[in-house]
Amino acid sequence: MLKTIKLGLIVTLLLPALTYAHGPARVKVIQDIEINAPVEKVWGIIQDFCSIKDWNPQVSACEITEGNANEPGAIRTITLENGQQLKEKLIKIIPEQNKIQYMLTEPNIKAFPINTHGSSIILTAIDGGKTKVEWKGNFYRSFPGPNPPPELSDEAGQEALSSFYIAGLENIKKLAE
Amino acid sequence: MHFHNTVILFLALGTSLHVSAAPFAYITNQGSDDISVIDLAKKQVIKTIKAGHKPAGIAVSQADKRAYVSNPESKDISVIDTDINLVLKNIPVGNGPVGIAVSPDGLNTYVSDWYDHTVYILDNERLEITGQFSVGHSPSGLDLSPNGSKIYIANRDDNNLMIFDRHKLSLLATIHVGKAPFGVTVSRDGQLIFVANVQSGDISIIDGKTNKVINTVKTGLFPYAIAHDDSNNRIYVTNQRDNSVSVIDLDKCKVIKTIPVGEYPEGIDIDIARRQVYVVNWFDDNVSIINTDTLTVTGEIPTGSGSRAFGRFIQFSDLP
Repeated sequence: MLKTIKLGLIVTLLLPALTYAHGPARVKVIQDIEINAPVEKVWGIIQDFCSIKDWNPQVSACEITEGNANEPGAIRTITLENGQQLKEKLIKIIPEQNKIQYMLTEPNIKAFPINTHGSSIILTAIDGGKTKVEWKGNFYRSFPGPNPPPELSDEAGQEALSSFYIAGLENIKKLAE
Repeated sequence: MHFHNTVILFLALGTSLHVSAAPFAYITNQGSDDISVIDLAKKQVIKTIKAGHKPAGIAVSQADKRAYVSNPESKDISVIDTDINLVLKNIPVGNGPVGIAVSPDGLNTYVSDWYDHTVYILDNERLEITGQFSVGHSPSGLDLSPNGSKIYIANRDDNNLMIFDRHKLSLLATIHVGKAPFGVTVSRDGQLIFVANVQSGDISIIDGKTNKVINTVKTGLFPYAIAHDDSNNRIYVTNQRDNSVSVIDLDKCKVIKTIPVGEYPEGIDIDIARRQVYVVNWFDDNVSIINTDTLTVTGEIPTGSGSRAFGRFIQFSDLP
């Protein structure tokens, strides 16, 4: 509770600056999983840009709010379990490579303590009709100055996104197998 | 200071005599807090040098045979003697040093501070910060004119480029460019200035005499840094979110080829004599080599973790 109040205070104080400067060093997030199902089946689960609401348990709703679904430039608004929303833009969808790439369009640090987020999900066929799913992302922390408080640090961002990726990957595995 | 260097050099020669010849690349690795020194002829890392925390920018100086590294998270710069590949000194500077460039005469290093909205001036002989001047918001890339008289600075959050008189430290011009300018490269003859606008996805080309934008060229997604090739009248631009390099012909002012490289390409530099461009891939932890005749990737060199090398990173000078 105290942590929430403190975070809220920091958020309020920093809001005007948030759309501008971010942390000085981008941070990587990489998670992967091996699934005992062919690439086509796994791709079928994730290929729709808004299907994230069906396969990531941390996402409760998704809606295409701009552009055409599954065309580069489309923007989805996702709602997380805690009610916070994020807008994400589809950058590339390459079915022949089983790859989808998107980015955060505006930060919401009540959802994730990050300022930017670029992300790709890539499927690779491996021996025996299995699939490797790789979810790779990068972000800048939201705290627009040096010496961030722990809840707005690089580590906090990495933890939040890793947990989000892992929850999604584990559920894709469940759905595919 | 020169005596001091000579002593260190003799000591170093005793144990690890360079068998390599220039050029060498100095690649900052943000994930491993170090610098990979690459022998570009051998295409391999020959030494790893500890830097500060999350080293980002690099400025290799031919004049005084050094590499200056900005460490935004430890708020200092590491000065490396490139003859012996050892850190001479870590110098505290500001709150978030990012962009870094050395004057062609080797006398000063200029460091843009992401948080202080300031450029700090290092005296390269004394190895002390001796001055500073205020610029716009979140200054990032900076470069100097070849004669060393002007300093060009991109202010990322003001969407502009500032030009300062280096000796008077007076503001000569402020030029509106695209959205979120980051990398700045001055052409080798000083006639043109190239600015990479990350969010608008284009390059502003500025006339160095009139200080006006004369062209804006669309690139891939998130253009970041630029290398100029005067032998072919081209520039090469890293596109962070397209995993590619745009080749722009400066006569036609358009992209003539897009070359796929590694993931999240950031730093880029060129060896014009040997017709090679080196691209630093942040996500893949390696450097892609592009041949400027064929405009294809001819190889990759593994580096450290989170390679960035924002700035001029090649040392062309051989050992004394």
